[in-house]
Amino acid sequence: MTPEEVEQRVIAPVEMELLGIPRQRMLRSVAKYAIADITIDFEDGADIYWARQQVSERLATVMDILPTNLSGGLAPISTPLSDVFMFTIEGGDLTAEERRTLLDWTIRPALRTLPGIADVNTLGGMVRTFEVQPDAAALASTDLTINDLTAAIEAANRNDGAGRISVGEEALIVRSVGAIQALEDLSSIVIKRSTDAVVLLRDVAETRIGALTRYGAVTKNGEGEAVQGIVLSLRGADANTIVRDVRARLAELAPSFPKDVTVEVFYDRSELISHAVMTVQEALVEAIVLVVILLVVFLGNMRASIVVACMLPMAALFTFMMMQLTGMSANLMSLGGLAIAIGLIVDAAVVVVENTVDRLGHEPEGGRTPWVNLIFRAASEVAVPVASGILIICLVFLPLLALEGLEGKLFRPVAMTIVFALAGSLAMSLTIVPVLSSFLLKKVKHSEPFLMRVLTPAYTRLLDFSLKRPLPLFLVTVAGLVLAGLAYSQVGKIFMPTMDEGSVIMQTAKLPSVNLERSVTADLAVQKALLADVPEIESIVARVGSDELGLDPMGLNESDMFVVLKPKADWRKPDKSWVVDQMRTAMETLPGIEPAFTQPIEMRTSEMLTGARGDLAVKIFGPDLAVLSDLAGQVQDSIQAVEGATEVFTLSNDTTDFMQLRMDRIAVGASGLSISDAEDELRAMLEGVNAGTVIEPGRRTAILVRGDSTLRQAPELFADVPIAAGGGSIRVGDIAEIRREPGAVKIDRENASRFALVQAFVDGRDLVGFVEDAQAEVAAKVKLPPGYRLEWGGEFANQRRASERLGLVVPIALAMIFVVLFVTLRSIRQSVLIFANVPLALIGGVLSLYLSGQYFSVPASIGFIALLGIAVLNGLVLVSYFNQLLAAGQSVDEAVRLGAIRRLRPVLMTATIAAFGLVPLLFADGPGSEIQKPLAIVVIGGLVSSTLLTLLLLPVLFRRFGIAPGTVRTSQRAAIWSPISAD
Amino acid sequence: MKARQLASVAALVLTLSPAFAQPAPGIKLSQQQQERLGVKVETVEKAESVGIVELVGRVSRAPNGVSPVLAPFAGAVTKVHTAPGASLKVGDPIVSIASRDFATASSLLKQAESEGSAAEAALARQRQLVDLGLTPRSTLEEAEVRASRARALVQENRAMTAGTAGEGERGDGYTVRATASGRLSQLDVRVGDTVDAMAPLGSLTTSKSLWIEFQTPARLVGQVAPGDIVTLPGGASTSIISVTDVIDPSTRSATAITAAPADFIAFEGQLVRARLSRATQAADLVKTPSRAVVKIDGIDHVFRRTSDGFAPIPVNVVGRAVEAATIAGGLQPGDAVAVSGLTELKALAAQGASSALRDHQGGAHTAHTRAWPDAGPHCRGRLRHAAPAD
Repeated sequence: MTPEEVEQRVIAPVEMELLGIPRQRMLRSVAKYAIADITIDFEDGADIYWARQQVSERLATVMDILPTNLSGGLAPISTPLSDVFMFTIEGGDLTAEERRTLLDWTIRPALRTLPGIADVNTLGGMVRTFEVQPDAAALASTDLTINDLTAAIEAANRNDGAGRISVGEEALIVRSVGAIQALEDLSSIVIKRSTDAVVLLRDVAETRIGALTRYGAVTKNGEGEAVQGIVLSLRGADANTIVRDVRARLAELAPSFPKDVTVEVFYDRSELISHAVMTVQEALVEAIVLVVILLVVFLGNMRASIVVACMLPMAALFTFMMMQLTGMSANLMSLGGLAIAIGLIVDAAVVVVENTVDRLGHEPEGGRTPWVNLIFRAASEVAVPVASGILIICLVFLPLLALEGLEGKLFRPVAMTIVFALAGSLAMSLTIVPVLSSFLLKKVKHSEPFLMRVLTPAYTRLLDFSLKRPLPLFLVTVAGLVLAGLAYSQVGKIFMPTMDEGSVIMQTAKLPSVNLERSVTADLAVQKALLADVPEIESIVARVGSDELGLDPMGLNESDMFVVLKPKADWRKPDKSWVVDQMRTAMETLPGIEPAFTQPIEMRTSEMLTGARGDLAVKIFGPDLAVLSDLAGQVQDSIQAVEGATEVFTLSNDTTDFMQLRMDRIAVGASGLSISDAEDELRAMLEGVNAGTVIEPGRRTAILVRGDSTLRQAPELFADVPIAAGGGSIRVGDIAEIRREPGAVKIDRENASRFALVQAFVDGRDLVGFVEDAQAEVAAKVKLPPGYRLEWGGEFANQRRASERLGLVVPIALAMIFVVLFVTLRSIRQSVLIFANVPLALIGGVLSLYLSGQYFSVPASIGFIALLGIAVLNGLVLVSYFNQLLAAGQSVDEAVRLGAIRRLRPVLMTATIAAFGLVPLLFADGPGSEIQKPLAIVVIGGLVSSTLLTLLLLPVLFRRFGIAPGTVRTSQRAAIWSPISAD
Repeated sequence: MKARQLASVAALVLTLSPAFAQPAPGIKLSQQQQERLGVKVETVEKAESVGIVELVGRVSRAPNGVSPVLAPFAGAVTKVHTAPGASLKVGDPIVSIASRDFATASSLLKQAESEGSAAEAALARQRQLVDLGLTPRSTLEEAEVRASRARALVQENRAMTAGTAGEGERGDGYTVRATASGRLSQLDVRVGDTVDAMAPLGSLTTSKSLWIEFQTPARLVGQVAPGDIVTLPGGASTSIISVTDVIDPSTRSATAITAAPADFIAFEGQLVRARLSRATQAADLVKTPSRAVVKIDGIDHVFRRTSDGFAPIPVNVVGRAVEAATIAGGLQPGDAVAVSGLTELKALAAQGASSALRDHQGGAHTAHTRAWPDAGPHCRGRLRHAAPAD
């Protein structure tokens, strides 16, 4: 059936039935030649088995009214990320058909039994059939149709048990054997008889071992066709386990393969997973090392550093326990969260230990207070400020828990692990750390570490200068803010950085009307060219067209080329985008074949999310295909004219040529055929019809009745094929008007309405502004007829959704932080003053993004959120100490100067440890590092600017605004943040 | 560089406006690109003939080379002397038939013969008597008439049973014999079958000449004419002798007949696929492989090789068969046309056309410059409207 037929006869009734299933969010369907693909999107959290039950119940009721020659059902319980393991079958001089048979009947059944595997998709090669190829002229002259042939074959292919016959006291089971077992059986079926003669199948048809009509093929390395298997994991199954089991099972099977036949694996998800996890693990270890070094440098006390460093594994263990309890896995994102938290985990412990060291240092020799009591007092002194500090950072990350969609799935685990780690560190800082301190800490003579001896005088001079002449400082700050504003407008904005999966998929598009044979030839040419020009490529496996399960039904013009790259050490230049550029250059020698580059998981997720990629995706809904196509063209032109549009395209103008046979009712009727008879006959000639199955040992082989292959290669011949009709014969050309007409390649529908899609990529300006301009442009230029409507979506919608959500939740979090600040400081003035630190942090964050060439994305904005917490914390450290000094009776000027100098170490330490904890992520190079990198860049850059400016600007501002004019506080009841005691 | 190219394309389009009335711009394709895409060319030849159609025909015996085997008397077949396919000489027995009619005829013959001899005898006696003058002359004349009538009767009866001889116990059987030398191509009776008088029992092929009868669809009846060249499988050619103008209701076709060439080996009833073409003197007709012709926007085109690539040339296809197409206009003999890699050429032609249009309209079109990995537009199933390749 053609796409329009599929839509009307299959999709429309099925959709009608499926719409309205509870908890359903979206119903999307695609009609292509001979396939209908319907996707139902359920709300998050809907149980998959319940949902499948709902769908199959409704599908069962609608099955009756669907065309009879239709097969299908629910796809396996897999996700777009289910392609965990891919392999080809090589060697042994097997034919394409033998390899496919091996895959279909030996490997696939064996792998399917493994737990966690939803299915094994098989592609390429030839599917063995018993092919019956009738001679149209001979058939017509014996007055037989292909349907007669099919019926005769179906009726002559059965084994049966007739019952039991008693022999004496025993019983024999009577078995009649009439099933077709070999070609000979098939060719000697009688299809017509007269009184004195019979017509056998072999008289009018050739029988042979052939192949099913193919909808796709697999090619490899420019050498020829191949056979490919894809292991699909069950939703929620562990890819590592599956891959291990599959490899083990394949090794078990290997001895039973024909000689020299091997299974060659070209994609293994577990490699990616272990790579990504390895990247984060390395970063974690490096961060821990860095943090310990920093502790030693800043504290100058080895024992204190060890106590603090003990926090790292303990907090990590606590986090893992919580993850276990909440059912989270240790994945890229959750481990990434831990890596981010490393710098923050130690804060609480540092405060407690530092205060303890200080207490112990100041306790006079031979004091009467017991050692343990001293430590207890030291810890309880700082308990409230530590708790409020940690609370602030936790509050900062809470908005992330409110994220939805993809960004929510990715970053909720990050926020959770950070909150777990911080909560753990807080709990342990107040319990285990004092205990450890009592064991490990010794009374030491207080001495300034070397680093502080260098930094403090320098800072003192700078601070004095700033307090005297604040103008240059203000100017620098304002200049910084202006620069940051400029940089923000220049930084590219994307939704999410692309993760490097290590493999490349090159998708090629050819002319929509290309046939399979040419498509395969062209794919091979592409592979040869790539392998010749880009030595970094290890191998290429390409699939064109549809797969066996119909999970990803592409057209014959579409190929996914899976490019396996050599290890990076063998590259001419260790840069993947350079390699991809080389491939792009190589593709220029193959004009007319359009390449696009993506990666295995990226490809699947982008298809899943919107069904389309692109910064902006405009969907035009409406009933008529021609109007939709026309509107899509107009929208395309309008958006093209908007500044910033790099590439605007629509698929809905894609057409392919149909050979349209308009049945002449009178001619068909006069010939004695019905239209459906005639159509069945035509389909049998070209596509072939199934006439049953031959049961062979270990496999089932279909019997296919199909016309001569020459018919399928020449429209001229097809028009003149005789068909038996009413005692004589007619030709296709006699009963139908044959015309060549363009028609839709595919029809997209969403929630039971047709739509055309226009996709756009934007460069050089911000997406939101672009979308607003585009909307205005389209509204002005495109007149929508009644019944048509537009919907704006795409990456931009994701971004907008994320920023809307954050825009709602971040202020709430800020308000809560403000409340915490207020409770801690008891002063609105000072709370506001601390909040004034936040823009200072933004300066460094934005500038470092700009300088590093990274884009502003969801991870970057999460970096800003983390930055916010640390900046507020730094402010709090200073302000609370100012208050402490004021309470001690110092003048404001003195309190500000002294306070800032004395708080230099804790502020620097918090910031540096937090920053250096992220440094390993900055230099990490494995898969997954792309997502953490913008975050690390923002936090590190922001911490630099925030720390510097806070240390200089906050004292200046506090002197001016910190205390209500005329009131000099003499008593200070507020809790005091005093992480490291006064020296 | 790219900008200049675009500008030149735009200028070209402007001068050629309206853009689409003109042939699409040429496709630049380097030697390497051609090799990699597997673009092969074939040379266009001058058309000696215009292909009309391919038809399926059935081989039959030329009608003047067949003689029927007839049974003169109704009866039942008692013996078959030879098998279908045997070579026979004149007088060789074919079937024996037991026939009451034959027996009757034989007895009638005998009766007539005896009556004849009686009449002859009577005539002789009368003649003697007349000579002796015993009877009047008139009696002699009467006897002569009677005798000649009896002779005619004998002759008639003898003719009825000519070529047969009484057989069997009762003499009621006769044998049908070959009337000419040749091959017994068909024998429709078996022992025990009854046959009607003068029923054909089979046929005897006396000559080797064959016809091929082509079922000609009604739409082609006007196009096929006597004299058209028929090219048979194997390259032998002959010409159409005649075309009927009656549509057979059972086959919905008229019949075009050709005599098979002497060296064409075929069997009666065999189906033969042949190409019909007509000799032409027209100078502007050329022949290209059929697969070189592609439809672009509903118009047939071929891609002619130029110095730096290919140019899509709209052509008028006047005749098309499975192998070769005959084309009027646009091409010269000796031109090279692409016969493979056509889908890519067609895609490039479409791109050239659309980018030319966009430039013509002055729409912003900049190349996609984003760095990978964000660059990969998801362009599945679509051909990007990119600028012409460098």
